[in-house]
Amino acid sequence: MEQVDEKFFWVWLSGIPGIGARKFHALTKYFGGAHKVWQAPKEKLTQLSPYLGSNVVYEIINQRDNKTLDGISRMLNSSSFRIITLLDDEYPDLLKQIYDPPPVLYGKGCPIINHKPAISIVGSRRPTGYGRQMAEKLAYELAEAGVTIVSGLARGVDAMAHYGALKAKGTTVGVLGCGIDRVYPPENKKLFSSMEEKGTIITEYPPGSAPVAGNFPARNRIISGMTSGVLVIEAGERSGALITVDFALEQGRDVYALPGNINVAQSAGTNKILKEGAKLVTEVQDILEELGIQKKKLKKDTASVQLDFFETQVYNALQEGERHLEELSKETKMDINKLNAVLTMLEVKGIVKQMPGKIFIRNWDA
Amino acid sequence: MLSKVKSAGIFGVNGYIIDVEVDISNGLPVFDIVGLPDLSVRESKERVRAAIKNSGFEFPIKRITVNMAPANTKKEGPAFDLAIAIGILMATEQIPAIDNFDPVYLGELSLDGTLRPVNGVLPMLLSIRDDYNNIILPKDNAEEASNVSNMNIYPFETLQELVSCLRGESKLIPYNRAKGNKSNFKISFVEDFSDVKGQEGVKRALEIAAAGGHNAIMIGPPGSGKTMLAKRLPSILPDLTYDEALEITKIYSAAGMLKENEGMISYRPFMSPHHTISSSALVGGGRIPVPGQISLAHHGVLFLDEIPEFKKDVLEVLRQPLEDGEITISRASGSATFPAKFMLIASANPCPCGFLGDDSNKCICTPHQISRYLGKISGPLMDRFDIHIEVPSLSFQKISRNEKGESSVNIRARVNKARANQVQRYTNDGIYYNAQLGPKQIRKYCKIDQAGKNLMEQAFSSMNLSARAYDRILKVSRTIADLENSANIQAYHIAEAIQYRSLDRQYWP
Repeated sequence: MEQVDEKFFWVWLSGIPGIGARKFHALTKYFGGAHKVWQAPKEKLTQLSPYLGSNVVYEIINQRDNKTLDGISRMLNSSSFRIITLLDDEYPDLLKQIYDPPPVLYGKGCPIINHKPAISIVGSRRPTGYGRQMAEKLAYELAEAGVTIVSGLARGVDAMAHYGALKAKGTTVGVLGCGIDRVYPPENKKLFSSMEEKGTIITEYPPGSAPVAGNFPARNRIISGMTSGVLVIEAGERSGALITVDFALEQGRDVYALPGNINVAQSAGTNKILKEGAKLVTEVQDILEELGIQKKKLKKDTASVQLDFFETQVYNALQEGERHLEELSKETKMDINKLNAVLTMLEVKGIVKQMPGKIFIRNWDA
Repeated sequence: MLSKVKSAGIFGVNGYIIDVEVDISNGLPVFDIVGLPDLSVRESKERVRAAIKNSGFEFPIKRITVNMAPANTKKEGPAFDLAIAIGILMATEQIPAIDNFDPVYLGELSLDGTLRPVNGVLPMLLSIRDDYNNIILPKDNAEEASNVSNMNIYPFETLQELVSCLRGESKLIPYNRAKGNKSNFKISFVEDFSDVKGQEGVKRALEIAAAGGHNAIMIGPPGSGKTMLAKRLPSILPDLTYDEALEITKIYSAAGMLKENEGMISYRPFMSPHHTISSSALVGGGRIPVPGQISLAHHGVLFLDEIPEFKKDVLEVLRQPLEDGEITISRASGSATFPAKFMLIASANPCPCGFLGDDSNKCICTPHQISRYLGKISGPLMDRFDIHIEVPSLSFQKISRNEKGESSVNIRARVNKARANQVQRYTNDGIYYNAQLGPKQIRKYCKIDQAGKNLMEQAFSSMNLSARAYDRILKVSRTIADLENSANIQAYHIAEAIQYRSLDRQYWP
């Protein structure tokens, strides 16, 4: 019973505005538990004002009423999400080891599997077509090899990493910077619902919290903290992904990066951290060997897709990367009408991908 | 003394006869015009008085009453000056009445008695040709009027010349167009597709649009040549027929947009209104309705540059005329119907900053901003665009700079052939081209084989195409097949058509 009670007050204390992980841990240590904070006399709490800030003390004192208790028991009994505290078994082991682990996590979807190796994949919210493809590809292959993919459910690289992992039917965890009941960014609605079904969504922020800018750097410490390494796909010079890298280094985790074109802004960050010593990743094996996983032989056979003469020509023209329709027409000497038809066939066969602006690229799994 | 002469007015693009009655009686010298004249008609008093005096005739110092019948429709414009002047001269017996000669008088007077051209001569004459066949009008309108067959046109330069003819001092000679008849009618273009280097993908899409009469939207960064391409579209549209040219001229004449001595509009119009346009300027309006941009684009191209910048309510008024090919404008003075069969070509930036899809990855817009930007165009209006064309940025165009483009004449030849196929196929359906196909007709004329069905199915699932794309892809495939002279739609026709639905795609999961 004692344990249940303590969980109850953990949720209460961690939900008080102004109390982050550090203040939470400091308070519970000082008073000897969250329940003790609830019971603590006013004067004793007031004495802590210089350390906690008078607003926080005021909130603690004020939120010690029955209405708050009702709210917490409703949350604990909620069917749409669950609460995982640092005391629970589901709480990620690696995350416990960081300096300021979030005391309480709100979670949705499949249970977090603790014994599996995990890698976080982060990067630009506005990646290039190459970045998107690589995020999906590497996430797919890592997930296929049994690695949990952790990312931030944001636009761009994050979303592609989750999609890649889901595509491989692997495990994946998304960490939010807002309340569990929020969908942010809104265009990821579809991703959110498949993550709830086949992946896991967690957050340290209580339900209803808005996605304010300050939440995201703190969210990044959970992403890196949950995993043994961070893979940066594409990042601008001042990208949020680099904050995750800083956390990873602080937490003693590995940093991997995908090299990119030096002329592209989205590669500035990744190339910079590569110079500073991040491990260069050109294939999934580069990460798997650090994790000590033997990669299974690829059994994929591309021979199952038959290409005709024209399709092969276009496929070959895309060897060096992305090409615009006009460039392809010139290189293959095909008429536009024929080329358009061939490109549709290649798209349908899943060999070529079209990007906005009539730019075509080979699919990574082709 | 009383005299009666005929003149004509215009409402919308239809003319009607106006009886101008002039009564002169003793009394205080007054000059009154009744019969709902507007300001420009009322002012004709001064012009008529001066013109009569300066032509060497006598202006009666008596009580003059001019009535314009039917008295319940509003009269507008200076075209009645001549009829009023002739009426006064007849009433004062300065001109004798001629038996069996009761012409329709049209013309504006200048103070020295010169006849100035008036607007709307062609539509007026076309409407009254069955009942009246003698027309007296200013010389500058003669070329335009001579488009109407079986009419005696008597052009004059001054009031004096006209009066001397009516007095029998010189002979009335009907006007004959110099070499002028229908066979002289020739279409001409200033802009040609050979001016555009590269852009093969866009040109092909425009060719298909022209062949099937499909509305198209061009998406591309600023400065990529969208306007340049759209301007050349009329040059590849099917040949303009005489009847079409006559219809266009009628509208332009009513709107007063015929150039001097331009007898006939011999090119397909290209209208490109600015995005600040009001809805009545776009579809037509006014107390006495005048044609708007969509009617001025009749049988031609209406180009809406930067379509998301247009006011939403302005865009919505386009929907009904796009469907019906005409617009009816109702005002207190009555309702007028203007033809408005135009091809709608729109252009838009791919996103607010314009760089989405640019190879340099410069775009800084959020997905939300992008969807909101193109979302300004309502779904029903977006549905009217069968073809989506992505115009590449300059960086991709450089590649093929040095190549000479195909000329419009060649492209038009293919378009003409494809149109002929369509007209033949739809003889019993009351439509002329593929863009007009309704859902039922699509099932009938756009049958696809099993290979085509499989392709469609795969394409929809692998490209996340939206369902509304289905019928449009079928229609466009039909046109592609027609361009190839193929009776049936083949799978590769569909495959090509799928590439013209960019806005239905969801590029990333």
